[in-house]
Amino acid sequence: MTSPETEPGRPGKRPEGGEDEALVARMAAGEENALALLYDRWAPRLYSIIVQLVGNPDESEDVLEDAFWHLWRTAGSFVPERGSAATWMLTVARNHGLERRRAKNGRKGAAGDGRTNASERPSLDSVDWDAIGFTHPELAAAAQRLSDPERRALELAYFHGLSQQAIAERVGDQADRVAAHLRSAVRQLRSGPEQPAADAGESGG
Amino acid sequence: MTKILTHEEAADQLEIVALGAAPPDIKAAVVAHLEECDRCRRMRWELAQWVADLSELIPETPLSRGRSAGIRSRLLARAESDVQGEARRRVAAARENHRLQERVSSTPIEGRRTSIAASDEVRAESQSQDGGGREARLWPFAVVLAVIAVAAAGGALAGRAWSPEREPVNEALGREVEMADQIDSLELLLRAREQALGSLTGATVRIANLTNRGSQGRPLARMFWDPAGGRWSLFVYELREPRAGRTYQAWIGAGDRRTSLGTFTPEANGTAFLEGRLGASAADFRLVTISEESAGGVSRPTGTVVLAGVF
Repeated sequence: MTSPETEPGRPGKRPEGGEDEALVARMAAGEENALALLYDRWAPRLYSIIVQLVGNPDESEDVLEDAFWHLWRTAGSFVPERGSAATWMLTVARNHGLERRRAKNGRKGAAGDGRTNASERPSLDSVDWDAIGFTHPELAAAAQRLSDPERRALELAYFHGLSQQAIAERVGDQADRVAAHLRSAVRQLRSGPEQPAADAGESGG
Repeated sequence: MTKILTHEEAADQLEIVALGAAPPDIKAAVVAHLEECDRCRRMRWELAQWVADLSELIPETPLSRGRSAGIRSRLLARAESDVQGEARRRVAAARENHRLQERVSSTPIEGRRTSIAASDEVRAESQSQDGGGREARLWPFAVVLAVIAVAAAGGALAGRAWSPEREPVNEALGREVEMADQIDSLELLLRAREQALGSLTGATVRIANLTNRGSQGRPLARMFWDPAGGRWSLFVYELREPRAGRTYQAWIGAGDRRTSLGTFTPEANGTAFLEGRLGASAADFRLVTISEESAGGVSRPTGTVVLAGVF
């Protein structure tokens, strides 16, 4: 939905390979124009992630600015071999959103239960996997195959930014069991139910 | 003290850490393990990629165009200041180096040569200018500072612009100063433009429409002012030329207080543009006026108010 006062975001539209990495390198060299280009390209997506976690639009704009400032200041530490620039930027945005959400919960929460003012609290509704299925049918189908506790734990952790402990309190389960649900959900979504255990559990290292 | 995890324990936590859901102590322990475990580190990067890809599932929330422009402007202004700090340090280093070189070149110094191994080219060049065979009380100091300053110039001179085998040092340093000055000017211009944009689009910008009795509410000028950053811009759309020997002067204030924003004469088509910055003490100002005053301007408004508006 686009109003005359807003600009459309570009979810899913990613630039050609290497463009973002080149811009990050230019940003590390102190080129403000590179920051401007990355902002134009990524601000809508990063804002969507942040507002999903933080809830309050005004506060989310602050977080968006903080996230981009962090990207500018730490561009020199970006290592392309560790992942794409897109992953780096999305991770920074998500981490900033999580930090703000948890800081806010810490300030306003009652007895650490994460309760906030209703007007500022992001919705903890279940995710509409049917809607997601229109654009990502395989992932939505895999999510539908998860057990209810696994799917709910994933929703609360990823989409709503709750910590393992907060999820446990919310669903009335033990933290260890929540961790197991999360682990299982991620592994199934990444590998499919036929190959539930990734090599992460193997010995070595 | 950070908990120590076995490989199996750490690997079991990777998904939780990637989702950002792990308790702080567990996260710290996993991070410590990643320092030593290539396999887990690779898995962590893959999971980070996967979690990032999941963001495509998050519904889009539109960001207001105006507010986005404000954030962008603020970011660029901050980044520009950040770069300018670096640029100023480079310019200062290059200027100091240039000054020292000129001082060395123009100071007749007698005595024995001093050997500074790392500065053969610099010394040879200076000797050729001085006629050679001179000792320097200033030599060691100047040359060491010169080398440090060139290094501080970010390697640009040594790596690209400066070729010690081919050109005199002073000439190269002079060019470095000149280039730095040009970059400085361009950066200032860009900054001014970004700040002007920010003063129009920021979330905290106040707007005053200036009208007069004849305009029937239609604004004949508009002022944008961002008290947070202090920047203001005044656009005059329609104002006749002032009478002979008179000028227009813009004012801002509250109660009996008035601060001049400057004098101006509109273009032939009635337009004018002024911009500037106000200090924090202006935060409570609400009233903007334009009055016709004696040419050259006055310290307090005395002439006829031709336009007025409030924030």
